[in-house]
Amino acid sequence: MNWSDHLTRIRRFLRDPNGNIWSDEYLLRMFNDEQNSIQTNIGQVEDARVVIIPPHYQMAYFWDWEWPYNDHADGEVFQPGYYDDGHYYVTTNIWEHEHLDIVTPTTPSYGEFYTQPWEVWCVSTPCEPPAVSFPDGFYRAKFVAWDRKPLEATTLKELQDSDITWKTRQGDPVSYYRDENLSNNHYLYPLPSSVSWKEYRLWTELVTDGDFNSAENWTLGDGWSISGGVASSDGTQSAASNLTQSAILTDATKYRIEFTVSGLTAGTVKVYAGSGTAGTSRSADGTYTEYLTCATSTDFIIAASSTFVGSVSNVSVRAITYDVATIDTDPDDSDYGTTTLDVDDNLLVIFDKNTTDLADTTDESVFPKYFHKFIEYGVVSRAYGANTDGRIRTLSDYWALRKDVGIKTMKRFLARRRIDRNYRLQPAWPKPIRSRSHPRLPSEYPEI
Amino acid sequence: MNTLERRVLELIGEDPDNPDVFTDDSTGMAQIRDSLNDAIQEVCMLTGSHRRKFYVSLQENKNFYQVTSDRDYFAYPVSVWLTGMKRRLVQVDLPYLTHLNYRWLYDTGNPLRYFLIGSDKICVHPKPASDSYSLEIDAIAIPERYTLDTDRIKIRDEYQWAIVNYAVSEYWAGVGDAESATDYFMRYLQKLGMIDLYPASYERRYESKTVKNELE
Repeated sequence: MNWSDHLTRIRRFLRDPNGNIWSDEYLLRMFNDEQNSIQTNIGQVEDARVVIIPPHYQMAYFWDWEWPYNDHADGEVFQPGYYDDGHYYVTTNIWEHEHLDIVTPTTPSYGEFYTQPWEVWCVSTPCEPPAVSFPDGFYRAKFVAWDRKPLEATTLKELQDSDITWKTRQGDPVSYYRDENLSNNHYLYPLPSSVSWKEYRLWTELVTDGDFNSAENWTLGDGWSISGGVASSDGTQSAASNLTQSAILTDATKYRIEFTVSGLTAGTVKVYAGSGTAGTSRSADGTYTEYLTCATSTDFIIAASSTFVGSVSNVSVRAITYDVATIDTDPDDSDYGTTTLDVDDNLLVIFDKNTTDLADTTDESVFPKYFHKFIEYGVVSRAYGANTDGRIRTLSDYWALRKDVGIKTMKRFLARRRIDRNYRLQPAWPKPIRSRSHPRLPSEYPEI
Repeated sequence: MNTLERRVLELIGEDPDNPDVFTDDSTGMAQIRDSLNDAIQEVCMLTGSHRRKFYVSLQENKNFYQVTSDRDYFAYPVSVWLTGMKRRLVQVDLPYLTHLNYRWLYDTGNPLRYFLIGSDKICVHPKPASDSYSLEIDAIAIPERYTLDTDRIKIRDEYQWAIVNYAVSEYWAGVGDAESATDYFMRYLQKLGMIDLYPASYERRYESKTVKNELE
């Protein structure tokens, strides 16, 4: 059920189908607020995710004023550096503040400066522990494990009290802390001394004669010729024309394709991984790299447009078996259980989730579908209670009653989720003594 | 138009055989069906009256699984059976597992226990050593919404009048009569035996005080 469906139902309850009294925007804001308050009340939305170490951030920025211009809507952004409020500078070492104050710098640097958290594992000693952003919608952690080992929650204050080298301590993490609630940034202590880099593996070269020293393995379409280490198209073709190596790819496999375009004077050229997956049309000289997944056929094709005049050289096609951009950290996928949650050398986080605000008509609430109506009841109650031409106090009370019953229903429902548990009452220590006497042989009885 | 829909129309004063507003088609009955579906799901949440089995194939080295179904929504397990091993898994929670073995994520073998994450995820411990066996989860389910008058209504007979009152309550709220709406909603709770969810006495404040004027 998406926001469009909710809106229809809410408007029916409000008897305002055309939005004469309550605007869509107002109702949407109420809906988002209501689902947030229900989540706070019952804490139903939980999730389990893997956070890749080294952490990936969308981009970095130095100055606060840069924030509106960065890509924070598409992912977490990272702010490195030390901001000097007195001089309006961002510095890369703490001693620079002393320099700006015209004091002889004495503060040593703890280590190397970095602009992205993943760079920490490229330098020998980072100057600050790197931030690790927990997943979108993170509210509070229920369980955190690094490389399958559970981590204890701690505070920065406790670390500073117990370890003066907390900033640069490296080893196997045993705890984590959060320094502020504005972002989802967390820090591991100690810093993992090594990480597994998630690089893709390149397999062997698939194209034969990619250097065009021979035309033997290529099938030339109209206008194409091979000579002198390049494949050239002279523009005499009347339609798009292909340069093909047949059946060298595997369907549904991802490939890294590299090629160089030179002497281009007209038209465009592009590559295909199978006839179903085209790369970008190139209209200028240059060396290009594309990542394409083979589809429809297993041919590798260089396709000249009907007007293309130019040359292609240094063609390389290699399969890749791992792609950073599509790493699966989300067990919400419908095929969950068939994808690997890579918990080795990474963080596993089980957490309470914040609700996500709906924005578009196709957005859906993160709650189970059978909880959605209780959110709607809260919206209707508040709309009827607002000081508008549609205010009807009695109806507001009625829908408030419905919501109250709904909250109790949800709480009762959630309590029943523990119905399969076995409970047994016993003292922790000492162990229960045997209360019933059993017949025993007398102590003087001879051993058997 | 199914039996429940006819009862709702009767209670709101419509002639089920010749309705004015709620005509006997998917468009005309949409509002009533919406209310009845809400009621069916709510009753199943409260009573756990709809029960069915879900199956999850276990896979090598995987602790976490999502329980999915095309027909109904998975609500909560009543028992989890490890087929092949003929063994019931015990429901635990995260603190239990951490107390049992701090490095529980390393353990491999035939699963002995499980815990729930969110509404539809399950974590087994130990993780399976190989792709073998399945979990047979005997669970409470929340029925999907019915759309046709020939669809099966997944609710016990004794709750049918309760959900009829629920739908009538929403009808009266929809036409602006809060008093009738509240009245029918209370009937719904009474018929369900759940009036304690909203006892009127919760709002009543008891206090004792002297009335000084009367003493003068």
